[in-house]
Amino acid sequence: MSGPLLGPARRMFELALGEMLWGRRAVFMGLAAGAPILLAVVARLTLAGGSAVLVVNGSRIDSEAMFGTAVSLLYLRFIVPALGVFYGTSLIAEEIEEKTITYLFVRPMARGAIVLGKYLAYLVCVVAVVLPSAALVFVIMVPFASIGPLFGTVLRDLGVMALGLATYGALFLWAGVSFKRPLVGGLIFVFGWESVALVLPGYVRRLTIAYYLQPTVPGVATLLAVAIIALFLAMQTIERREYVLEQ
Amino acid sequence: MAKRTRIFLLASAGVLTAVLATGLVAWAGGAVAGSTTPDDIAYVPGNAQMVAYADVRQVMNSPFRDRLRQLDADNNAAADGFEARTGINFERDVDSVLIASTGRISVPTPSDRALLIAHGRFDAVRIEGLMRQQGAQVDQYRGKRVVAIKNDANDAALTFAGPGLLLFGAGDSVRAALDAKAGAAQGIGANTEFMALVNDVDEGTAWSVAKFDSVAGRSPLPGGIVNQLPPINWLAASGRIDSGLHGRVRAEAQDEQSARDLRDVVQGFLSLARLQGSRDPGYKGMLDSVMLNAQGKSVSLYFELTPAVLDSLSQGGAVRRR
Repeated sequence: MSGPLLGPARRMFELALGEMLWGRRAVFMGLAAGAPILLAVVARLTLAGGSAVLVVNGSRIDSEAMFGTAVSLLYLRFIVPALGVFYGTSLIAEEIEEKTITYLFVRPMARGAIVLGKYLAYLVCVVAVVLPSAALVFVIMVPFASIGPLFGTVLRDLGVMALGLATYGALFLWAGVSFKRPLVGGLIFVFGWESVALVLPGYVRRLTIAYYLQPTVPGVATLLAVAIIALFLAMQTIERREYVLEQ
Repeated sequence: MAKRTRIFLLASAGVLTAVLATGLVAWAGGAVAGSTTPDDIAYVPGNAQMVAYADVRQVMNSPFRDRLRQLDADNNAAADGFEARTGINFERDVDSVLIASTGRISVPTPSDRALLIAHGRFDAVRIEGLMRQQGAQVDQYRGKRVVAIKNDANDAALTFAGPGLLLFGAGDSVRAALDAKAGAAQGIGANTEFMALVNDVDEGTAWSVAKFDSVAGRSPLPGGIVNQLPPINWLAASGRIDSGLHGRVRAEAQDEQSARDLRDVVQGFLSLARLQGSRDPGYKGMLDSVMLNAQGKSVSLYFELTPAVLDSLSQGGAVRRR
């Protein structure tokens, strides 16, 4: 890697953050963060009013159980990986597709700084949207009396979500700088491979990110290692790779 | 950075901080209000082989318990029997309970050796009246009023050791508890090995520490299998109960090799269980949550019964009952 990294990365971060928050893709992020809040409000009002009882497989589901399900199924198995794939792959791939990568490369900065700045912008952007969304869902769905006992669990869930966003983002950023059509492969990995591998017996499930996001698996070190290595590889790849833009 | 971006980030941080502050206040409030067990441990005699604690109020108020109640709605006979003998309604009157057992399994009725220490709201006059109707005598021991029945069929005593604090068990056990509290006899607090395990597990809603010999004879496993297990000194278990059950079972083996052997044995059982239960989503969900860990002489097994797993289990049970 050539040239200073942090200063240019910071300038790239500020530029990319604004684009991410107020660009076209922000609509998808808004929906991903807003829909669970809306669902939580509806569920809480319905359950509290007693106008309806939610029954799954013959058993009544309370709001705390619904929050647990929302975290594990909605956030960790859908929103976090989906945001990681869509944003991670597009960070560089979109610049290539729209042929604007040339404008970034002609700037007097290391290519690695572009990747680092964009990745940090992605991370701040998605964490700033997803974590408050999950926190709001928690206070909406869980009665105040139960907030105390569940507080530790929620803190852990928020930490796991942030770590998941960081890991998926870094992995698909690497895919974005390495492959021509990274989005399709990313979607297959997240919603195909991970879903299948998690139910297979043996050690295959260890080859997924979702496995390390489970509460019973001590996966913090693994997730951090994957995120750092993938980010490093992405920075290395972009420094060496030549991008031929289609005419 | 643009102004609207800065405002968005500040708003996001504000929402997160507000929610976390709310959670912190609720958690701190709960921690201050919640009772701690070490005070009650002072009543446990030094020869206790098993100590178990449960925060009954938290268990009763938990959604997990509501689910269990739905699963087992008919089984209230044991609770009714206890209320008939003592006048204590467990669900209504008791906040927390600590049970200690001397574990003398050679005694024909080992459960009578158990000592029950309960915090709650008790109608002392009514409870004493019920005991006396059944032939109990009142005695004074270490400044406490001990109501005791002793005949061929029963050996039970009860005393109110403090406001809202009830001791119940065999006459000798209750007197031994008062001795331990008064410092006239050695309490379990002097057993550093035992107390180290208690300190390791006492953050759960319910926990238990036991000398393995004392529980081996009561294990649901066949004696042949228990005899084949590597040597184990202690067993400790704890569970946090909210909408589900987050449990941990810890075994202290005699040495590191025994711990590794035990881990392999448990791993084998888990593999067998996975094979057997792979078609049942309830059991499969529970088994997927199981994590086994061996460190030094300790082997720990973590598991979770999430609401989704409970739903699957109840659904499976309903289908089997049909």
